[in-house]
Amino acid sequence: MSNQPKYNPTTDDLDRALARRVADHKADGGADWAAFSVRRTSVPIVKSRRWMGAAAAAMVLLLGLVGGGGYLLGWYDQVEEQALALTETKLHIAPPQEDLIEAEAKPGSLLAQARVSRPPIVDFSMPVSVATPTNEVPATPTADSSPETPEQVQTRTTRSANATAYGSQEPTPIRRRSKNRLQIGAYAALGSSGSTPNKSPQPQFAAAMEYTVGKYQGNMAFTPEDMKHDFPVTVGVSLDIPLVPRLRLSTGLLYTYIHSSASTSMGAEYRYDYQTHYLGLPVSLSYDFLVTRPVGLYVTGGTAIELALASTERSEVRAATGSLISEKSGPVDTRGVMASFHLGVGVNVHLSPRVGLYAEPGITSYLSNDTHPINFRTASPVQFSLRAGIRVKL
Amino acid sequence: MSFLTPNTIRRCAAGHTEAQREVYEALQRVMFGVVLRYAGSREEARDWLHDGFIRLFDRMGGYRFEGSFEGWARRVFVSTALDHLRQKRLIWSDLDSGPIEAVDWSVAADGIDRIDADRLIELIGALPPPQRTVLNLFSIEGYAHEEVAEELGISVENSRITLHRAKQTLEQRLKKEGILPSR
Repeated sequence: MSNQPKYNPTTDDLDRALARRVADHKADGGADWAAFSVRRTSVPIVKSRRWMGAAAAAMVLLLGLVGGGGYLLGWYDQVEEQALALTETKLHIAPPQEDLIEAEAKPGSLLAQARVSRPPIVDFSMPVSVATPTNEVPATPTADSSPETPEQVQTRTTRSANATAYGSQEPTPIRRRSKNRLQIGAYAALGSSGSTPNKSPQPQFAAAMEYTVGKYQGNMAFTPEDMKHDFPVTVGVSLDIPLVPRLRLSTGLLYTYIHSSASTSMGAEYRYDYQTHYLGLPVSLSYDFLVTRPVGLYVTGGTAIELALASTERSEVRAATGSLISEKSGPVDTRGVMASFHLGVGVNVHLSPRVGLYAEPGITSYLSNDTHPINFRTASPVQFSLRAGIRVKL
Repeated sequence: MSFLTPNTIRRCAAGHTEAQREVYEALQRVMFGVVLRYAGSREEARDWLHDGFIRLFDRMGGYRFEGSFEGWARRVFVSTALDHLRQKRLIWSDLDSGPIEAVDWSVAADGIDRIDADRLIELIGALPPPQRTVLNLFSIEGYAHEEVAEELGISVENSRITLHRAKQTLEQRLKKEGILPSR
């Protein structure tokens, strides 16, 4: 179409007068660029998607390393624990492990006092329990408390002989790991799914369909059924930094994939899909309010800043028979960050002293943001989520 | 729009914000005038202008540098306005029918030349939506009846009749305004 209207031969004086007066008439609608750019859903187009493959590969590699490393550490811990348990069983002096854990958990207990007052070194060759660094409460019968039976005498003699035979008159160190250690982890999370009424996604859907179908179907009003949003899928890696006992700061890196779709049937099947990729930085504080094994509980709360990296859309038209009539796909404008706040309760399941699994149901509130393509986060800003993962103490 | 260089248009299509701003500022007043003629109110026209620019920026890659850019952009805004009208389902509800009598529109054309352009746009905006739409497409945008019919999904005859009724209504409004003498 040229700058001037293409007068067709059927026009009359009135048509020409109207075109002359108003065709190029400028009107001030009070609109300006600043208002437009704030209101519109997006600006720059992210054209390259190569980085997405690289990011996905890096994420998978990272998950593999953390998961594999966690598994190996867990296996190592199990072997170590089994060896320790075997040694303690042989020496007949080890109190049940549950008692030790319980004793550790009680502030002011004898064991806790002992751990404060002396390094965690225990000589199992001595006929004194690890739980009785002082003589106040003997954990096992000793020569001081009661006469030894012949079996006890035999056991003590054997221990001393063994110790002498192995040349270890020095105390045998058994390392107890500190609880306040850095933790790394990997997790996956699912958010809410659902649908939004056709009012909000309609312009997006209608524009995409018109673009796909072309002007020859331009007289159709594309009114989709409700737009459907799949579970947003998040995977991430985490780093937990202990601040004070029971309180830790968590951060890391997360990647989220969001997919939505809409469709309508108007003689043919019109379908529209789009997906958005986010990369985010979460920061949260967690408080362990129940420190028990093998299961512990904690509360967590924090925020996350997620950058919308790219969005892509695909629209297609299929005949009633299912054959593809037309399709188009390409990038969608996307821009800016999305902030959110998260609150949750977590359950820790300790597989070993170093390795634990956790599940963390919670609620996330996404701040209003219209610089992103319409998705479930923009349409429904408060969502439930479930995160599950593994943490490994370094 | 001679100051919108091909380079600006290319950069705009590539998503450069500064180029998009140039295009926006160059076109927004004339495109507001376009959508205002189709919309029933300035508030509605502002929404359509916004949607039109979003669509324009989305489709810039489709501009082949054949013909003027403004003409191509105008078509995008007209298409946006028609979409909104379709969503309101106003276009098809009160299409007119009946014989078309031969009319000499030269007097009305003189009145059009005398009236203030802003007021004329208001009068056009006050026409019933089907008449307003066909008048805009045929008389002002320069579509042929066949194109109007195709665009709106109506018959060519229906387009002719609706245009005729639109001109009659406009003539009556001009008389009410005192622009044209009452017979």
